[in-house]
Amino acid sequence: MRIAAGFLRRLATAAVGLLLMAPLLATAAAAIDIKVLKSPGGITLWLVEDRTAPVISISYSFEGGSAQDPKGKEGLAQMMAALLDQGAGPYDAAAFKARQDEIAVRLGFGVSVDRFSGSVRMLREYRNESIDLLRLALMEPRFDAEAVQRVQRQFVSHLRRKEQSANSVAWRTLLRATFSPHPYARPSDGTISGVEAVTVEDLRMQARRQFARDRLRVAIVGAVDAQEAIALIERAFGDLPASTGPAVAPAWTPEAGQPGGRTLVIQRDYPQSVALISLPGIKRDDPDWYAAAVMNHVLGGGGFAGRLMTEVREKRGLAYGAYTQLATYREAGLLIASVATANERVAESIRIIREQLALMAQEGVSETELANAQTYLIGSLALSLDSTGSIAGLLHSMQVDGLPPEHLVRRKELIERVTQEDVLRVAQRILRPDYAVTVVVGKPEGVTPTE
Amino acid sequence: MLSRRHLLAAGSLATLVAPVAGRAQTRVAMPTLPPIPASETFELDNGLFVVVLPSARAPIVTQMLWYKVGSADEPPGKSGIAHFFEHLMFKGTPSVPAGEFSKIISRVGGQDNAFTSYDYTAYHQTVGADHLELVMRMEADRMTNLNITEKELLPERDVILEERRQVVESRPSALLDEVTREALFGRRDYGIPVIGYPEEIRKLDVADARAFYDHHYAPNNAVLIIAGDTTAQAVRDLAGKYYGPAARKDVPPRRRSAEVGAGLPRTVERRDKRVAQPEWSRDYVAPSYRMGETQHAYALQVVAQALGGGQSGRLYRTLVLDRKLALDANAGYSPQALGLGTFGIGVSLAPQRTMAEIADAVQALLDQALREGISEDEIDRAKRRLLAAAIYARDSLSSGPRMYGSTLTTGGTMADVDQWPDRIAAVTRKEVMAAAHAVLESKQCVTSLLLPEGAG
Repeated sequence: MRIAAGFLRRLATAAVGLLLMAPLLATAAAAIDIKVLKSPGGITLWLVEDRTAPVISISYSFEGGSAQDPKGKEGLAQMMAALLDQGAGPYDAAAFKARQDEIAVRLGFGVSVDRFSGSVRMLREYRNESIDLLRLALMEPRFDAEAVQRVQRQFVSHLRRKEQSANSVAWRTLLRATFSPHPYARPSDGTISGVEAVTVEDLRMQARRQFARDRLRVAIVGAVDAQEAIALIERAFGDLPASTGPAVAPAWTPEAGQPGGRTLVIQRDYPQSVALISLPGIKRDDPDWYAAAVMNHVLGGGGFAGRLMTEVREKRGLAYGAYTQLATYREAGLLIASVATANERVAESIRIIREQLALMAQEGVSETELANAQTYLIGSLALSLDSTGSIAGLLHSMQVDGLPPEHLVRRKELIERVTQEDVLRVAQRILRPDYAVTVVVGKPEGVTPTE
Repeated sequence: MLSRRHLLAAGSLATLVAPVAGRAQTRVAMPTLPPIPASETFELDNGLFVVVLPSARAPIVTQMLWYKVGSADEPPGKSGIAHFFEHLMFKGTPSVPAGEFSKIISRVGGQDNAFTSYDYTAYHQTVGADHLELVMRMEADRMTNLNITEKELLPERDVILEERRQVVESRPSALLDEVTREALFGRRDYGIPVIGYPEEIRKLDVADARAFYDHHYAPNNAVLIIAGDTTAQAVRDLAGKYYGPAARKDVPPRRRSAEVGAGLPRTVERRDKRVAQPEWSRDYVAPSYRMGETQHAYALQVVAQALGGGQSGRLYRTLVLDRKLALDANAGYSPQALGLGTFGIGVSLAPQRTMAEIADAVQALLDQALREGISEDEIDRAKRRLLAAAIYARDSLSSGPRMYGSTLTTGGTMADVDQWPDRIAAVTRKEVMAAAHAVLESKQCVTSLLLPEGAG
């Protein structure tokens, strides 16, 4: 998963954001003019000049994320990211924040399993000062002992809170059960013991390894011309080392299925149960990606338009929402269904969702559903061209996905080309009940765990 | 909700900001405010007020229809009806069957949703620019032609009870917020949760929904905002065609009580085994733009930023960075309400710290701020953050409609939004201190303790 712009942003959110990023409208493509530029130092950057407001946004990432955290130091990459604005160069934590206030720059750092991601939002008039602060954060983070201890305690508090949240417990359990022993099984924000074991030296090592020019993808959008954009990007990233070696995660092969799949129940005395179901999905570069996107939209990716929402919420009033999403990783893909229902009725919600997954694998989608999903997927990407930050995010995610700028035009054709047969084929590939992992957190009635 | 974070009521913007006098040190200049973006407003004969905010950045448009009704307008014993009714607005008209509204929007590649607050309810769609007519026709249709049937209402009531379980009952902090608000305001207006009390939600029926629709859903009780790739003339034509025929209604006057809860100051607490991180907070009754000592409303936004704006505020610097008593500390204030507002302080305790230590430390910090004053330097930084937020808000298609909508439905004007940065910039240190004294020395406050079960 990518686009983890915020600090400790939830996995679930990142995954949803991702799918919304993927579609793009042809008219939207015409509306934004992407320039691909190269800096004198060899950095490739994508630029869209947009003078709506005197604001410039940068979205960037470096390959390598929490999947590379050393065993026993789970949370290292995320902690490093959280400490970058807690003191750098001549500034301690308080001075760094004061400088940020003065020039009104917003810096975001975050880590997913595969990547370190960052965002910058700045006022045009303070662009050079803003970039200097970003450069300091990346090149000269201080990792003062006091700041490290503070962030460590904040992380531990955050992780303790998560242990009490049904939703967080369900997600962590699901990813562990689905991916173990692959490193994707580990939560990107770490574990209490991992975070507590991280030392200042670990953090310095991590920063030295993370930031290299050959791992960088970057997009810049806003009140800036090509020459200025090149200069800003060079100023921010130009002095980073050319390479610090590869950041690789091993390939993932799903565990062999078992009849009916696996079901895990985590008992908690809560009024409502959270249920998640994961199935091995497809990666972003799969030729059937858009067929899968159509299937996901019809099932439950489109909010109120989805079959799950109709069956679970609209017809029966079982839940506030029931959704599916496609989560993509560098080395894996998942389809995940989610619902939260009163303990005494959660078994019914799960049964309905499983029936809908089976029905999709059996019959696929109707002609009308296909057409509706296609118009949605084609049209909805324009909606994300709402701000310089969201446009930069889109441009950045396209680079991460290995797509060229022309994809904005081609995409429409790729979606239109999807047939009912394509959707049925990909549904049968993904929706195999024996490979499903179901996790329920709460005090569910009538749900029998398999382990 | 009692938001611990400052919700910016940021508007946009005049060209000039007065330089801040007597700065403690040399700094870069205050951010330059760009010109106020173009907007056009007009009113239909039936009283519907229309705002057009053209922007050609992307070939998309957003429609927001805001009704001047929220949970604080509900009849006694009917808590939750405003929010429940928002859900029922998706349950169909003779021309758009139940559940189809969002599906039609989705089919054209658009997205839609709605939300309910104390003072307003809003419905919004974002679609490709060529589908503006479709969403205006459908939104106008459900202003007057909604079907309200038992068949649709009953399962939706269960959905809302699940929503309450998910967003309130599963979160100890949300349960404590309900107690805090009731203590601050009593069981009226903002003291009653927007989503309602479960025992009252369970009794809401078709007659309640119909009465609510008849009383509050009218063109003269709404504000229509269209933003994006369109023109004022196009919107004028479509608004006249689709919203024009809706009949004006007699809408009941909106009343907010100036009374506060009994026996203040008070301390309330919630002990819950689901609490992993103890939290101390205090909420003061504060003036809003419309009620109480309203002259303090702008200065209080500067006070909240100076004391508790993110990691730069005095609370974070003192309690987290210097004294290490807390893991987080912040303050928040929102002046946007028809009735009274709240000024809140929130602190996450560091391990091994007690509520009493935090209470003493916060009190000492406030006493010192009131005694020695908030410095020009702190005020300068607070204003920079607020002005920057106003500029960044200009960079997003969705923030304009939200700022104008929430302002116009809480008794404000277009100028209140447009002049907001100027008014913030013009706040003086004297005004900051007068506002701080008025609120932070008040006894009208509630201290809330969120504790793990069995904690001391």
